[in-house]
Amino acid sequence: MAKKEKKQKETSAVEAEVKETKKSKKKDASPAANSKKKKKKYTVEEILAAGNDVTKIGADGKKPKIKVRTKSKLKAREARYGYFFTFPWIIGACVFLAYPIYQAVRWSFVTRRNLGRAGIIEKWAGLENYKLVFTRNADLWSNLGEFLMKVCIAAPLIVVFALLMAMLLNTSVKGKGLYRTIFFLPVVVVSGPTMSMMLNSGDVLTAIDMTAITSIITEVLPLFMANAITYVFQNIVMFLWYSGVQILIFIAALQKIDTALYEAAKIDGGSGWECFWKITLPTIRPMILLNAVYTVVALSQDANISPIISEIQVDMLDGTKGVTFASAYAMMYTIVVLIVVGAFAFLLMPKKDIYEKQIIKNKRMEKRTRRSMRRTEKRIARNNKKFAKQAAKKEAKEAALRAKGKLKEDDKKGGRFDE
Amino acid sequence: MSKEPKMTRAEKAAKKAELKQIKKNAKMPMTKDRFRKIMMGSKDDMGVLKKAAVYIVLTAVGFVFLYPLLKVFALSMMSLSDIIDTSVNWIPSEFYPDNYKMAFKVMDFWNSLWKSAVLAGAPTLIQVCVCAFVGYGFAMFNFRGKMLMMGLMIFSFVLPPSLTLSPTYQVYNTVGILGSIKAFVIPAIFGQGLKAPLFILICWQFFRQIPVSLHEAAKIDGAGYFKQFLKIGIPSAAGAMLVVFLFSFVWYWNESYMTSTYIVNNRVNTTGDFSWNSLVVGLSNFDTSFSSYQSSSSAGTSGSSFQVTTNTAYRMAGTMLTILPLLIMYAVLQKQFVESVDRAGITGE
Repeated sequence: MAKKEKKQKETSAVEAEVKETKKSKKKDASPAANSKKKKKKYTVEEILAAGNDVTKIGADGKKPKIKVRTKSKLKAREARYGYFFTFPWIIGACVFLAYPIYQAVRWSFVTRRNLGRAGIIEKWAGLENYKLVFTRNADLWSNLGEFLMKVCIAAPLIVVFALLMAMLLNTSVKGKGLYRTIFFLPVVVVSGPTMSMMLNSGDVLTAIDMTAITSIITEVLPLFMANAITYVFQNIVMFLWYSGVQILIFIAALQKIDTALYEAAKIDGGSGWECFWKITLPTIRPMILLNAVYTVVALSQDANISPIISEIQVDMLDGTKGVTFASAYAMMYTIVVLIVVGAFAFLLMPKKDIYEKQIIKNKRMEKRTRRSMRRTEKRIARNNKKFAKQAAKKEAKEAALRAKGKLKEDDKKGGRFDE
Repeated sequence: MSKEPKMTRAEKAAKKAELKQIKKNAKMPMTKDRFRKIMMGSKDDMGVLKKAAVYIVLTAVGFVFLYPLLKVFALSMMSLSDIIDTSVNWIPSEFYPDNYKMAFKVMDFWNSLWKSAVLAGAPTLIQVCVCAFVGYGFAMFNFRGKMLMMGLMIFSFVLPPSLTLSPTYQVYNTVGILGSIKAFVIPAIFGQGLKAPLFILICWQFFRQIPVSLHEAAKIDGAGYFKQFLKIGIPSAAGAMLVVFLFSFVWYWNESYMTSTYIVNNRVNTTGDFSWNSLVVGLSNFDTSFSSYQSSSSAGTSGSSFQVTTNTAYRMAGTMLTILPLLIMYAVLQKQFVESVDRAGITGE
């Protein structure tokens, strides 16, 4: 025991971050030492240096642990209160979010048969429902294509238009408030039924008579391009109506740009055009991403834009197709939407500069070295235990042998233990 | 002392000379450069032309924004003959309020207005409280699984609602909240109301901006976490809560599909013929309710087969009536609306 204690003292002196378990913890875990340990953060070099030392320290057969994260009482209480505050959401997420998602995913792989009083029998069907979506749905591809076309045209248009409007409103224009109020009006007013009422009543949402233009376009351009362009012209008002929130988001972002940047650029002889491309755009890039994602999500959930939504809603109540079919359909639609969102996010993701990359790299390195250190430690501890056990066994054997009286012979063999 | 007046005289003379120079400059005939500067503007100042262009563009776009509303209003005021008459485009030939009278009766306006207000108001109030509460939890405390939870939240915002529609319906059915206002209220209590992720994120954003020292001071004075939330969190996030309230109210008001599936079409559970007929749902069923109203009224008054079919004017009057309460609310609260969004609400960052 005396030897062990000595060793422990050594370890605590050499190694600040090594925490002995159980017995040693009780002995030298004075509060002052603990608080010192908490505050210290280790760099890669320190850890590496410590890693070399660990091999020496673990020799006492105990599991040494590295204190990466210390849990204090305060933190534990904070965590408890965090759960307390988010408690309603957690329950709601389980009941009204996670379970329905799980159910929808499960239903898409299952066939259901309603047997009246006997209940509903579910059978695993694999990808059968998905196959049905492709085969039974005659207008699947046209619907999907329509949705994709509309989103890929509308989302960039809306974002660019919103940016333009925000730029105009950000100049020293009188009556900003009035214009902003007007631009934001559709967000308040618009809803599914009102929109469809307006769409159905003919000329309310088409501000200009487009027949002449569309006829020219259809003659000059190939069909799919002509379709796209005429679609844009016919629904220009609708696009504008969907861009209220985006305009406000951009205005807020533009107002936060440091004016000193523009002044500096002006002194260096930068024109407005250059300022826009080299200052404005890079600074509000995250906002562009946010707006693009917001727009795509809003469009994908709008029944006027995407015919699939109303189709799913109809299929759900349809006797022949049923819930499982609708779930598979909805799953596919979800995947498509997620891909579109992901594509926009990927395109508009702000590029990290070299320094950030280096920081991330360093952090990753640190993590990796820490992990490998922990592993080696564990291995060492395990080996030490093994050795200790073996040694103990041998000692026991020796003791037994000694007791039997074969002392002199064994002394020569196991002499090292007596030192 | 004696020198000063002399100096001032000299200065005055200098000033006079300067003024003359300036006047000369001012009288300087309009050169090409000066004209250009005034019209096109310099780097610091927008020229007249540029400003005019900005105003023209803004006004034009503003008109396009308002166009559908104006058109709806104009159409709703037209009589049948005016609609058919192609020469009448914007201004009806006479003031014709009959469309509104009809739409009033068809949509059962006052009743559904009241229902709409309750349907939108009750979940909204709850949603404001709950979103602030949950947002505070996410913003102020660190705990295990927080990032995962927030990720799930954002994911649920991106998810198309049609995916979880029928399972949610089933859940509501088993919980037994279908067919009454509970179908809106109970999910709102558990932070799963309409677009709740967005609102929670807005609150989260606001709470994060509160300086830490405020909380530390409160802690030193012995306030618990809940008291901190009440005394520091809520007052400093009043803007966020206003945004949440306004948006939530508007979106609940405009929500038609959820209302019709979860509440209106499931009157089995409720007693009697008390139905939650909101204005928007009434609008989406306008044609059917119009024809039924027509048949019932014509059967009641006289046996004549005279029936007015729905026309655009009636529909537009109905649309106008649906929008009107929101328009009034927006007119009153537009400043708060716009500015609160401005003040970093939705921006996220």
